[in-house]
Order: sequence, then structure tokens, then C-alpha cells
Amino acid sequence: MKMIKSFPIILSILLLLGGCIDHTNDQVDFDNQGPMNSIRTELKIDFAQGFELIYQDQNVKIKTNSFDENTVWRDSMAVIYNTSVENYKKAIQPSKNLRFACQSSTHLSFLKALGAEDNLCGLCGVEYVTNPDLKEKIEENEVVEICQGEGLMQEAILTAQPDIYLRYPFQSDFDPEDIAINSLYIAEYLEKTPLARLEWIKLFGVLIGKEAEAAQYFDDISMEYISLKKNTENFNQTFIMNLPYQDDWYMPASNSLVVNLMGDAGLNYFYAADNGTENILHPKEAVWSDGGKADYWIIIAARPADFNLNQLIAEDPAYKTFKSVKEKKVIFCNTATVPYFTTGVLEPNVMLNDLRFATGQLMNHQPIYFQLLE
Amino acid sequence: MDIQINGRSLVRTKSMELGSGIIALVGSNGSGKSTFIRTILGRHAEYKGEISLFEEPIGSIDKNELAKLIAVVFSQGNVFGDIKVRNVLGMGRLPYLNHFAQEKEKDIEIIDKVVGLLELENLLEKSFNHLSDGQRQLVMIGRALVQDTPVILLDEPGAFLDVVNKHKVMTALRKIANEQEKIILFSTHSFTFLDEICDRVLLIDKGDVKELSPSVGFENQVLTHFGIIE
Amino acid sequence: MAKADKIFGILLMLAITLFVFVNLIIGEAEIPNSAIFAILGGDASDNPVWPYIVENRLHRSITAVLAGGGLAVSGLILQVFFRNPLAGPGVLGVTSGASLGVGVVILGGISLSAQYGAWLHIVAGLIGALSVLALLMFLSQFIRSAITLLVIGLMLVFLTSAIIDVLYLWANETNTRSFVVWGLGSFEGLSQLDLLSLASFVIIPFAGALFLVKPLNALLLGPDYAASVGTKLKQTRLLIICITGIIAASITVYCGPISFIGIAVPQLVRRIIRTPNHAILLLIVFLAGAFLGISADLIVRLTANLLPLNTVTALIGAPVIIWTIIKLNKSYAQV
Repeated sequence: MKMIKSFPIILSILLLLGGCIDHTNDQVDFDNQGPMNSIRTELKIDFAQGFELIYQDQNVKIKTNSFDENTVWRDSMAVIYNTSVENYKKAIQPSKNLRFACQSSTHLSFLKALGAEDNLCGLCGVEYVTNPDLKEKIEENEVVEICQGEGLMQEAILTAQPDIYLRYPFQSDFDPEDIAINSLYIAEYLEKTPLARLEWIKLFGVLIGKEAEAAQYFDDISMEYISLKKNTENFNQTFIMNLPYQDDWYMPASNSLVVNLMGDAGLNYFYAADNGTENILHPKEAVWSDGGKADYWIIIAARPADFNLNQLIAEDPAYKTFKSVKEKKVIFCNTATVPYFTTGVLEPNVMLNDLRFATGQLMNHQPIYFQLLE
Repeated sequence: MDIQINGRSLVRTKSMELGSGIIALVGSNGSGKSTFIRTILGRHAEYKGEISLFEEPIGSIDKNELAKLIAVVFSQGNVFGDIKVRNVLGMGRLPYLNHFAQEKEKDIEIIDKVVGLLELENLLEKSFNHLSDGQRQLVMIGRALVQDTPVILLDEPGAFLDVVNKHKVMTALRKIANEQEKIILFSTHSFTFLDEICDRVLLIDKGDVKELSPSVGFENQVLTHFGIIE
Repeated sequence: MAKADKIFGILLMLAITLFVFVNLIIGEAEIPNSAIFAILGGDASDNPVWPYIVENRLHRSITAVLAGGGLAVSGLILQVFFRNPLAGPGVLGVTSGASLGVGVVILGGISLSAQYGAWLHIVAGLIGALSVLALLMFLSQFIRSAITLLVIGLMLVFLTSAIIDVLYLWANETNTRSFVVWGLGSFEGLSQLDLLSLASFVIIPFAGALFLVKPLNALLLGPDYAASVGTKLKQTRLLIICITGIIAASITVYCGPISFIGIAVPQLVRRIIRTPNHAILLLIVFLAGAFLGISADLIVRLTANLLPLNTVTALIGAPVIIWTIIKLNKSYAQV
């Protein structure tokens, strides 16, 4: 009888021990998975609307395009495994050593998540870099400045000699193809949900031949995100966003990425009724009058590192009348000190938890991006 | 005096005294007439010698006080804006007005007197810039008169006028000189009307100022000097 | 003062008061009139945010009145001094200096809404303006004619513009847009302290313009005649540079560069008011400019900020200037 009683305990212990078995050997060894002349994994795109992967023979064509009425553009790049690049108008051969030039530090973050940041040879806005390793590379001229203001500089990018230049579809300069440099429009920022934006990592994976790794990264994070989202379904508090500029108070459109992120955290947009895909604009005093009644106020802006609630009120004493200010429910993301535009894009699950913690739906969490303003 | 420009002597005079009456300063173009007048006004500083008014050296008189002593008429008058003749005349009173430029009874009295003397009644409500050249110079003389100064300087007042208007202007000056004790000094490069109008005539002869004799005709002396008649 | 001029002045004052009240009453946030008067009277209000809104509207209105009046008066003084009906407050380059100062701050990356951003851009603007002012006053000693000063001023305008172009080239999109929006002009957002300092920078020099009444009257005949009636030309020039410079620069720093009021209003008033006595003109021009300022702000708010301030002032000012220039061919003398 004593043996039978202790059996569940022993079983549990065995199971626990079994659960703690080291799985590292099970991880797929991407680097040694054979020669780079065949596609290892065909990726499916479930969320992102801005790009497509078309598999043909042994090659894949990446297509990026606009998908809302505001802009119209298209681009594509073939990723060739087993024939010559010359047969295609725009093509590269995937390689872990593919030299990148990036207009955006966000794109660089995607590469970093896949361990390919060393492949960077050119960047726009070199003076804004804070990462010490990257700064060193810049000083040693391994990574060069390729832009002036918002425009691409021909000589600079030719010096950098990238295999591909990743850029946003609004840079209105000469075509890099005219000077024999492959380029591709990357518009992850146009996606409407954090997961759709994150899914672009698969595109980067295809470029450097690390599709499986990219898919793994995405699956891990998206699964966590979706399960976290379920926990907030009954929260239902309202929020407004951002700050006014002179008399104009701009807020994101109701179907925009950041508003959807807030929605995933259980927050309902105060101005959800304003339809349209453009940013919402209200005169400042209109927001004071009605928006001030929202439960929460989310601010994503650049401020000095020790920015606090009193300093916010000092910017305009009218804020004292806001419900969110009175109840100390102002959630702030300091874009000057926190990598909201770079690493943040790769960690929507962390952002979601930050928001759940700030709204009291989660205990015990160390917030990185969003914090309650004290 | 020795009036100079850039170190070079331009006009030289012996000591002389100018009293009330009409004095002409005659000289060809470039002889230094305008510079002479500007020196008296205190706007040209390069000279040797002394100019004094009522025993006071000109340089030491305060600008506003000097404006109560010397009034000027230039060869042309332009006003900025659509200003009436009456207002242009009123500007002559500026040295006497308070900071708000308010015209008091006395000021209006003086202006009315000048209007009567120069027969400017019909022009009062007209826009100054719409007047003919001759009318304008007459108004500018009126303005100088309104300034109520013992000295009136005119820098080639007839330069842009035809003979008829020149005569009108000269006649007006004579009328003023007859009625009031003023030193009226005008510069000119022409010789017309000198005998009829002037009490004294000064001639700039190669930089030296000579006074012409009143006993022989002024005009003849000027013409002889310029070699036009024997 | 002629009776007609007096009446015109009183009408302007009434109109300004009326429009200020209208500006207080209308707005996106609906507040009942009774509540507004109560708040103005100092009573508390049911809705705690209403006093802030009314105060915001009041500040805007006062700013509009001060800025409109100040710019118009500066324009008047400079038009007489340069004998040019197209001269405006910006012609000496002082407002461009202010723009350059603000441009360095905004294009250099310090957002207006950052903690010290707003304060910093005011200081930078004032430094830029004062530098130009000091330069002009220094050079003024060596200048003999007004035309020379005018050319120097215009060259300073071009120079500052060129420097701002360099800043544009290196600035990112957000900052560029920020600076462009600043350049559209706005009466919005002045705090009580800002309002106090703007008022000082406009009213005190305006009071100082009392000493310009006689010189300006005299200058209507040109500098030679002016000197002959006792005007001290060098002193007058310095005083004009100072007064117009301080007024125009402070308005630019707090409201952005505002165009057309300074050129159009003096011309309009000089057509309506017959007296050329600047004791009256300065006053009436200030009132007319103030009226134009509050009208423009009213229109901007009625269009819910769709039209920027400079567009409204242009829409009102440009026709006035065109009309006056056509009349110019008939009436004005050669300058």
C-alpha cells in the first residue's frame, strides 16, 4: 500500500526530470544543413499583407507591394539557388555573407535577430547609432554612411558595395539599379498588426538562406503573443494617444498597428469611431474636452531620460483635468532611451506584456518599452 | 573760408557778412555752389574757416535750434504718399511742435499768412504730387517760409523750371524779402532775373567767390565773366 | 485729430473687442456662453477643463492682437523710412535672424515639445534676431543712405535663407516637417509668461515710437528736407532699427514668420486716413493690424486649422497690396 501511494510522486518526479532533459541537441543545425543550392523550407505567410514568397523550381521570388489606397508601389527580388543570376532582371544568390546596405535601422534589427548584423556595409543615419559594436565598425569604415538627409548618395553606396540595398518605398531618388546595385522595397511599417510586421523576418530569412531560423523565431514569438492576447479579452478600458503640436492633435488611425497592439492588450480606442486610414486630427481643445475622459493615455515620444508625470503636466496645465492623469494611468514609451523602433519591432510579445503590466493585468514583470509615468 | 573736398580746395571766400535781402550765388555746374550751401547747413564738414550765425558758430548749434534759424528749399520736392499741399506746408512747423506734432493756434496762423502771401489758397486741398513742377517749388518755398527762420537757403530752386515758373519763384522771393527781414541766399547757374530780384550777387570764379558790383548790371557782369559778351 | 479719423479709430477698437469675444465663444469644444463669461469673471466652472480652454482661446486672441498690431506698425515705419510701399518688417533681416535661430534648434533635432524645447527655441530665435540687430546697428554708423541699409538687410535675408537650406539638407523628415509647420505661423500656445514677454517686446518699443513721430513726419519729404527741419538722421535710423527690429523679432520668435500684415495694413490705412501725422497713423495702423490679426485667427479657427495662418494673411493681404500698387501708379511720387 505504501508503494502505491508514493507511485504518483515518483512518477511525477520522473516526468519532471524527463521534462528537464536537455533539448539542445535536438535543435536543427542550420549551418551544416548541406550546400546552399536547394531550398530547405518553404515558408507560409499567414499575417503579413505586404510581401509574398513565390516558390518556383528551386528558386523563390520575393514580392513586396502596397496594399492600401494611400500609396501604390511594387517590387520584387528573385533569390536564386541553382542557376545563374544573369537570367533574371533582379536577383541575388542567398548567402550568409550577403552584404547589406540598409536605409532603416529597423531592417538592421531584423538582420540582427537572425545573427546577420555583421553583413552590414552601409547605413543611413550613421550618427544616430548607439550600439557600441556597430559604432566601432563605423569608425573603422566597415559600415559607411550612404545617405544625406533623406536622400541616397551615389558615390557612398558604390563605395559600400552592397549585394543588396534595402529601402523604404518613399525614397524618391535615382534607381539603385541604374548603378548596378540591387535594391528591394521593404515596408514592414505598413502592416496593421504587430504579428504581421514581425512576419517580415521570414523575408530576411529567405535573403540570407536562414528561412528555418526565421520561421522558428516567428513561430515562438507569435504563439506567445496570441496566447497573451487571449488573457486580455475582457479588460475593456479606453485610451487616447500622443501629444499635440501647437493646436493640432494627431492620433493614429483606428486600424493602425499601434492601435491594434493596444487593442490586443485590452484597450479600446477612444476615437475608434473615426474611420479611415489616415491619421486622425482633432483641434487640441476638442481632445481636452472629450479625449480627456479616456481611462488611459498612451504617449510614444522622445523626452529626457528622467521624464515624469509632473513634467508632462508642466508642458500644459490643462492635462491636470485628464482622467488618465488624475488616476496616474499615463503609459509612456520614451523613444529617446528605448529601442522602440528597432528591437521593439522584433519583440511584440514583450511590448504586450509591458502593457498588461502597466494596466494591472500582469504582476511581476520588468517593463522595457512601455511604463506607467510616475 | 576754404571749402574742400577730399583734401582739394573747392571754394574759397574772404571774410564776409551776409545780411537781410536776396543774395544770389552764381556759378557754372560743378563750381561748388551746392557744396557751399550744404556747408552752411552743416552737412559738409570739410572746410577751413568759420561760419557763424548771430555770433554762434554753426557747428555748435543744436540741430533742432538750427532748424528754427535756417530753412532750405532744394531743386526738387517729392513727398512719399498722397499728401495734401496743406500738410506739406505744415511740415515747416515741425521744429516748433511737440512730440505729437500737434499744430497749435500760432502755427495755423503762420501757415495761413504764408498761404495768403504766396496766393496758395487754390492749391491747399490738392495732392502735392499732382502739382506741376512750378507749383511744387512754390509750395516748398511756402513751407520754408512757414518754418519762420531768419535765413532761407535755396539750392538751385529754378533748376527744373521753365522761364515762366522761374520768374514766378523769383518774384515770390522778392515779395518775401520786401515784407520780411530775411537773409535769402539762393544758388543758380543761370543769370536771368538777377538785376530784377537780387540785392547782392556772389560769383564763383575758378573757386574764388567774388562779389559783383551793384552799380553795373549783375547780368552783364555774369555774361562778361563767362565770356558770352565783351 | 480729424473727426473721421477719430471715428475710424473707435470703430476699429470696437471691432477688435467684438472679434476677441467671438474668438472666445466659438471653438471645437462646445462651451455655453454663460459659462465663458463666468470663467472670465473668475468663477469656477462645472467642467474642470473649460477654464483651460477659455484661457487658451484668450491667450490666442491677445497674441493675435499684439502680433497684428506690432507687425503693422513696424511695416509702417519701415515703409516711410525707405520710401518704399513694399517694405515690410522682414526687410531688415531681423526676422530672418529669428527664423535662423529657431531653425537651428528645430532642424538640429530638438523637438518643440521636448522638455526645454519650446523655451530653447525662443532663446535661440532671440539670439539670432539680436545678432542681426547688433550687426545692423554697428553698420548703421558707416552708412550714409537708406538704400544702402535696405540692400544690407535684403542680403542678410538671403544669407540666413542659404544657411537654413544647409540645415534642411541634413535634417531628417520629422524635423523638417516640424520647421515647415512652424513657418506657417500660429498664434497658438503662448503661456502666460510668453504672453507677458511678447507684450513687453511689442508695447514698450511701440511706446518708444512716440519719439519717431516728428522724424517720420519729416521723412515724408525725404532725408535732406528732414534734416533741415531738425531731424537727427543717424539717431533716427538707429531708433528705427531698434524699434522695428525688437517688435518684429519677438513676434517671429513666438508666432513664426507672419507675412503680409506688415506690408498691407499700413498701405490700406494710409489710403483711408487722410492725415499724414504719424502720431495718429501709428495708433490707427496698430489698431488696424490688431484687427487683421484677430480676424485671421478667427478664420483659422473657423476652418478647424485647415488653413494655416500665413495662408489666411496672404489671402487677405495680397489683394490689398495689388490694389494699392495699382493706385500707386497714379498717386505716388518717384521715390
